[in-house]
Amino acid sequence: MNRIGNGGGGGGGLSNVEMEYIRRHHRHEPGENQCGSALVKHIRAPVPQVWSLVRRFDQPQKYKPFISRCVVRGNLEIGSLREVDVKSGLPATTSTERLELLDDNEHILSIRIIGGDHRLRNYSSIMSLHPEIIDGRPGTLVIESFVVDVPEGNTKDETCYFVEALIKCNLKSLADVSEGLAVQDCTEPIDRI
Amino acid sequence: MEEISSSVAVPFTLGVGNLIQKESAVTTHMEITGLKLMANTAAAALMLNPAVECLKENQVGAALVSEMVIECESNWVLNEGLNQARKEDELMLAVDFQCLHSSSSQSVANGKSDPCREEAALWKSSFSEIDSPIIIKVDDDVDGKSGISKLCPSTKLVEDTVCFAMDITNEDQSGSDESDPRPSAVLLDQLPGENKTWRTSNPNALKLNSGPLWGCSSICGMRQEMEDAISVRPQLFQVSSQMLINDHVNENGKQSLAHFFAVYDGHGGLQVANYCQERLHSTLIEEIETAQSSSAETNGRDDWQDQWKKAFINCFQKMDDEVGGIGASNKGNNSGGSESNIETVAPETAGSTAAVAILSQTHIIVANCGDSRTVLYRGKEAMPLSSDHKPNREDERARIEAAGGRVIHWKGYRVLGVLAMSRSIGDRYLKPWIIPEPEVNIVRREKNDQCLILASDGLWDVMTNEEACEVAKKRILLWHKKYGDNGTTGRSEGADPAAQSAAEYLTKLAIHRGSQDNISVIVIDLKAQRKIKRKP
Repeated sequence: MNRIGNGGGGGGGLSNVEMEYIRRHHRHEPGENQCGSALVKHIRAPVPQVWSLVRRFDQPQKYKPFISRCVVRGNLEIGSLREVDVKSGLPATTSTERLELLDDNEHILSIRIIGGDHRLRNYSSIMSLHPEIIDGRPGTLVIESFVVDVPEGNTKDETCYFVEALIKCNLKSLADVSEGLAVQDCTEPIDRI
Repeated sequence: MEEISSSVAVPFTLGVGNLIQKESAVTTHMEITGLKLMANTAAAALMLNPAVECLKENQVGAALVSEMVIECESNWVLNEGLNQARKEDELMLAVDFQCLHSSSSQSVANGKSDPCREEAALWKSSFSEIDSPIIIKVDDDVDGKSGISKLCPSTKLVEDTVCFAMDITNEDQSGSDESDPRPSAVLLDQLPGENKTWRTSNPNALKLNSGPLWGCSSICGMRQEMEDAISVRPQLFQVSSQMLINDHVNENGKQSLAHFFAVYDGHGGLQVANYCQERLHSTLIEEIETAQSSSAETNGRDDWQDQWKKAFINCFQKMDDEVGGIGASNKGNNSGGSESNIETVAPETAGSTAAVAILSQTHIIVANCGDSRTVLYRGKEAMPLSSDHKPNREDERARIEAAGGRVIHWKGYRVLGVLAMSRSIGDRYLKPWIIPEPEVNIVRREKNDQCLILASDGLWDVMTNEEACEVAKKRILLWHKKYGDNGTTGRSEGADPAAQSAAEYLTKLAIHRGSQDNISVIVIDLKAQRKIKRKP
């Protein structure tokens, strides 16, 4: 792991807790011509809410704004492939992705990109969700890390910059959608035991 | 590629020779009925079986066959009217493609270029009078930009293209339909021996205050979704003279009609382009009225051109704010400080270009944001009235980097490696690097202005400004040559059929050239009167 950034937009570095989560759940083995990074996002919604969106390997468009359509081949299980159609304006139109890990207990999702007309070769990413308290309410700490080949003609810095820009957008959208769902759940009485 | 290029280049030489022969054949006189019959037979044989061409040529000569094809074309005009126009377009496109394909195939198959020379020369000469220069450019560009295999799907797409509904509204319009071009007996003049010379004249062009002669075409093309939008608003508003000249003396100056044209090329979704299509022109009117009031208050000290720029800048900023939900979010957001997507017009990853042109009696005012483009054909010069906002434009790159962003070459230069344009309306997720500020250009109209073209990059990516202008002009003149005598009497309030045929041909040509995007084109004929005189 050659760089760590705060995806939530805060200026500070990562806390010890976050560093520990990364050490434990985000092990990548970057190759010689690869780069990687990890981003953190604090979401004001409980883990079950956020996880219900993240774990939908078959419907990433529920929170990922760049995706227009997704089709999964066969049953939804480890090793499944999904064909993703990307919206216009981006330097890609399709992406083929494999489900590497889906842990409902630890709330970890891992995917690998194995095809498509983009330039992201050997891309692998891990998302982990961790409960936390934000302003006295249950929230979720989301960590997403990735590793990818550096394409010919680009630098490691450029490659990370590009991927991070996309992930930041995805995480922000995940927060917006999750918190939208969380608001709907607040209809229950506060004093409920 | 060298072999293909070589075999393609050769036919042009023969084409020139054939032109000479054809010219000498003009003096040949033949019976009309007999000529038609022979022409139909020859043309049908040529289309059904190119191999027959050699036999026919041996019997009647290449020049004569060429003349027959032209006559056959004329015959179509008499019989099929509008349908003929479409067939002719497809035939011309097919001829260009078939000739190139045939040359390539034969060249590869037997290593000889002789068989394809005759065929290529024949096909070329049959259309040389009308579009020869453009045909040559088509072949050159196709040869240089795409392989043969790419041409097949392109040609097929000509039939598969889907017309997108236009937002074409004229508040004064009484619902009259677009006038149909009607073939007339005058077309019988298109016979061998005719001296086909004509000229256009516009003695009172600048004084006319009639509706604009516009046409537009918008097709989905290679994309899965249609995200372009076109807005045409003839006679949208009145412009006071103070907004067109520095005239502070006459407070009650004349007012003249202004026409509004716009192309919006959306990306990441169609929401922003559609919103602009619905609202931008109204917002612009509000801003112009504000500018005029402001001008009155300051006793006309403001430069009138600055007023236009302010009006456009404010207008585009408002559109950007509205699609981003800036106004809506002020109404109170209950989601704990997080921005809500529910109240926004568009997702934060959707955006659009905006190429706007205001046409008045005396001036053309252009505002551009993004990489669509507006080009004016003045005399024989194609003048871009807008400059594409590309991330690698020096000043744009400097602005982006000064704001802490980066331009990364990732399948072309892109802001953050993501978006291929440096300005747009929308795209909230890329602010502050993407801005909605238009560049405004104001030019005075001149007598030798030919036409104005607004188009998305689906056209400009596969065609130069010069090519587009020449094609548009030729198609306009071609329409008038065929239908002008009958059509000039009644001026339709909708699209002008000549400009419409030019716009449609441009979109077809872009598909043929291998455009990979939605394509939207507006063509405005700036010649108020086109009188085509024939001398028998």
